[in-house]
Amino acid sequence: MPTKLRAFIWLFLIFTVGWVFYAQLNAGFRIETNILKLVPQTEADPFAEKAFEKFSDNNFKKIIFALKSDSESTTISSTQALSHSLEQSDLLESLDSHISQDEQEVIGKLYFNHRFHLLSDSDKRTLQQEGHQPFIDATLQMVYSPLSSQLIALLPSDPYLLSYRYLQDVTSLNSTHTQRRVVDEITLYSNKSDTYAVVTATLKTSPFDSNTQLKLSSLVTQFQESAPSTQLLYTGAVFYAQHAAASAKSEISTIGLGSLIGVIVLLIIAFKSVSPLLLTLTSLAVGIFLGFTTTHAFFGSVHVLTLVFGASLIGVAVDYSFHYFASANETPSPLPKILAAISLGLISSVIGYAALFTTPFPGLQQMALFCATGLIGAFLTVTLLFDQIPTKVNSPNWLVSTFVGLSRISQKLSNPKFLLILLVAPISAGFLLSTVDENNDSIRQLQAIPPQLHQQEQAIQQLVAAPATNQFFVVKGSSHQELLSKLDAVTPELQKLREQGVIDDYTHLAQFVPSSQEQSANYQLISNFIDTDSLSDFIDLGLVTHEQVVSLSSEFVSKEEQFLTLEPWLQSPLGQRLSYLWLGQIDQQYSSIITLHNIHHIEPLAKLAVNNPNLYFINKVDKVSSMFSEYRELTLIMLSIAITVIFLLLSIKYNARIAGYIVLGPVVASSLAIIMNILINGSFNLFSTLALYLVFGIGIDYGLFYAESKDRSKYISLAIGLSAITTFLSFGLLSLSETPAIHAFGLTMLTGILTVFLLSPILGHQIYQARESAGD
Amino acid sequence: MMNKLAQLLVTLVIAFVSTTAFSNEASSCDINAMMRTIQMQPHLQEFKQEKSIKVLANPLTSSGYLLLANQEAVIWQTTKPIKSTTVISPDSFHQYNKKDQLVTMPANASNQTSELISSTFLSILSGNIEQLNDNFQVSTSCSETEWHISLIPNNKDILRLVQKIDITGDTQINHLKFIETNQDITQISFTPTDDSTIKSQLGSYLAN
Repeated sequence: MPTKLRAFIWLFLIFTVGWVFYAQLNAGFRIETNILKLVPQTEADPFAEKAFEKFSDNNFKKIIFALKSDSESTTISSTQALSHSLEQSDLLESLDSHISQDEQEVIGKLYFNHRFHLLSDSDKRTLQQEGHQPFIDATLQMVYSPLSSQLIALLPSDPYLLSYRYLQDVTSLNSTHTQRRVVDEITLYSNKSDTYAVVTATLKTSPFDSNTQLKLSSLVTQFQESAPSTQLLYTGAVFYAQHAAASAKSEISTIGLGSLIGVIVLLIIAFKSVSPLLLTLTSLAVGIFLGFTTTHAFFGSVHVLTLVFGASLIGVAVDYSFHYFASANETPSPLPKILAAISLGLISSVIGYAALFTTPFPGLQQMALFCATGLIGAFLTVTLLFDQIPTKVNSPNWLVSTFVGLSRISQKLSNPKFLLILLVAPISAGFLLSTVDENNDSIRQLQAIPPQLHQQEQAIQQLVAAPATNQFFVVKGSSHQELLSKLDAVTPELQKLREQGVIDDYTHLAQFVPSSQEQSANYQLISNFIDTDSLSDFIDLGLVTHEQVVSLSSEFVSKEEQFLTLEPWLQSPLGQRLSYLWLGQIDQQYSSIITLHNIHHIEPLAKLAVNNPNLYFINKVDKVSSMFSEYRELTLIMLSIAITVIFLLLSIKYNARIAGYIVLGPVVASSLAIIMNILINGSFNLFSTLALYLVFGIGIDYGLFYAESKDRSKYISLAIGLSAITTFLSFGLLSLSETPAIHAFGLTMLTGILTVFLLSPILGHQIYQARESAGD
Repeated sequence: MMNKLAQLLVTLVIAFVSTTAFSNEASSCDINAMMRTIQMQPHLQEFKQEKSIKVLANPLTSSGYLLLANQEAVIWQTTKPIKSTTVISPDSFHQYNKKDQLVTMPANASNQTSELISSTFLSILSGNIEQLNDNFQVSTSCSETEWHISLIPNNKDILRLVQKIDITGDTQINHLKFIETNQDITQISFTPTDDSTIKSQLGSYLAN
């Protein structure tokens, strides 16, 4: 192809990508930091998946602060100051403070209006088993107690104080915590030794919004500076997200800059000329540019972990340039000499990434697309642009001789006995893999969890006894009433689980708004006791008059159909506090969750959902973990298939022996990486498995460079040596990552690439021999 | 009316009387001396209670016994018109019905009502005023034969319910008067007694 045309194609490519990039820039880049966006759907039923998403979106917006000072009064005043600055900050949708007096009145009025239909479970049992007498006694006891005459005014309209009792029952559901009290509208929780004030709030925007993170963080810092004697604990997805985003940003710059500086230094040392440096940087820039733009266009956003991972692309994409310029030592037009090798290298890498892309795993798909398109961008720049600018390079002899020397030493090892010994590696790796503990595959691997935040979260969780956010039931119904009936229906099962110690408690909507059947049954039960005979004790004592009871009876009859429904309850302050229980409509179905407190055993919960068609048990963390395990196995199988396909393709191009030597390097390197990981970390997880794809791609590249070179060029050793150094650098830096997944990835890469680098001259020697004996 | 009732209902759910307290205000008669007197008073008392409730035509009267056990617990037993017994100690609050069965009222949101009633009552009747915080403004006055303590809440939660508590006594508390914010008035008068049968009967609740 004429060089001019190639340059034109390259420019066209750059302009096209530039145009897409510009459009994205105008629309605003979306950098995702939510780790849940990386993991695949875990629920077979899309409804359950949507329900989880809706719940977690709400839940992610929650923030909880716990404050402690030397004295309770300082704690309260500090908490008031914090609440005030939170309210002023424009960050919050709501500050979920203690229910105020006015709000309590609204709740009280709502329940009072429906008092003929509402009975707590224990009151219902008492009425059914013992009739109304225990209520008469309890009321009299209250009436004659030294204090509290206020309830007496309620007697004409609610002689058994059922609404008072129901309200107390309901509000106690909302606060199972016995060590909780409210002082000056501030909620205080006490544990054995300390008393903390707790503030709960809901953010207006997503916790992954960087502006929100920044504002909240400066608000917290300002508060801490203004109240140095107050201990402040906080938790919420926003704090984790902020940490993850900050650590990802710093890692991207460390890895990216580190690799870049390494590449620049190597280029200057190895090629002693400006144009290789500029051209290589251009190829890298185009690679990253294409990778980012394509990924953003395809997924609508780029995950920050993709960028961390993608930053290591520099170390891989630079290989094509190294081969080009190493070869430029020998010939003024190196492209034809290296084209086949780098093309095959690209194809093998792209095959690897394509395999990764086929997994239904958004995180892997993004990383695969980013890397594959990034490599294509770098490759196209090398092949379309580089020979537009004639470059004369003259690598220093000491450098070439160093690599050649290394290569010679390794050639001595190139004998059949050694090659046979190498085969022990895949066998041992296979054996060790079968013993890997599956617990290592966890969603937590995707997030750097700073111990300080984790400790604070645990302290707050213990203090407020919050419900589990990762495990809960979802129930759906075609109408509000159907939903409430289903919740009522499942209540006995939940009670049984509580009695068996599977969970400490549960909360659902029907505990606050019983279904209409339940309310109707309550009404019928109460109707037996709203008459002058039943209330004769009160009439005799002058607590109510005969006329008042008659009027009550007629009011009771007129309100038979006045059920408490879900809408007004959801609007009430209590409903708003418990809005997380309500998911609204999903796929035309009303849905709500049942939260679980202190889960002691998971299996009975999962079993309950299996046996009950109305229930979905959501258990995201465990499901993601088991899915990671499955994917680890799947990606290993896919890798084996990719190796086989590449081996077959190479066998067709060369012969089975050469293909075998090319493939052997990365197979042994991958095996050693597996062995080292298991021996050092005691684990081999999904993310280490993913690194094997790159080890394999790069390993094949090295083999191909030997297979494709027409003679035993010393510059092959130079190119491979330089490429190995940059790869070490990139992935060495990756292994410093705080995120366990990225760290595991980097370590696997280091071991794998080192092995491939050491093996490639040994196997290269065999490849030359094979080619010579084949008469090439 | 409905709104008013709902408001009442709610007010009671929130809190009853918050922890009372006495600030030591220097006055002509020494509050500490009054406390010591209360602490020394006979342990068994007979009481008569009269509640004047605005919504009722006639006052509600009741009577019974009160046993103070080592300044640590109060057993309050109404015998007329219906027997009921309340046992208050710093860390518990139990009520028994006419058959001496434990009455379980639904738990309040934070058990505040029962806790606050207990602490207020226990503190007043046992003269343990030092332990109370500063929710009340205290004033005292004395005559030749009687002393008088007046407690006015300065905590807005308490003020919603209680306007004033008056305590009158000589060698013991003779009279307690609770004026509630809605103008309902509860008056309790005490007479010492030494009936050993009643003492042991009331004491048996502590053993429970």
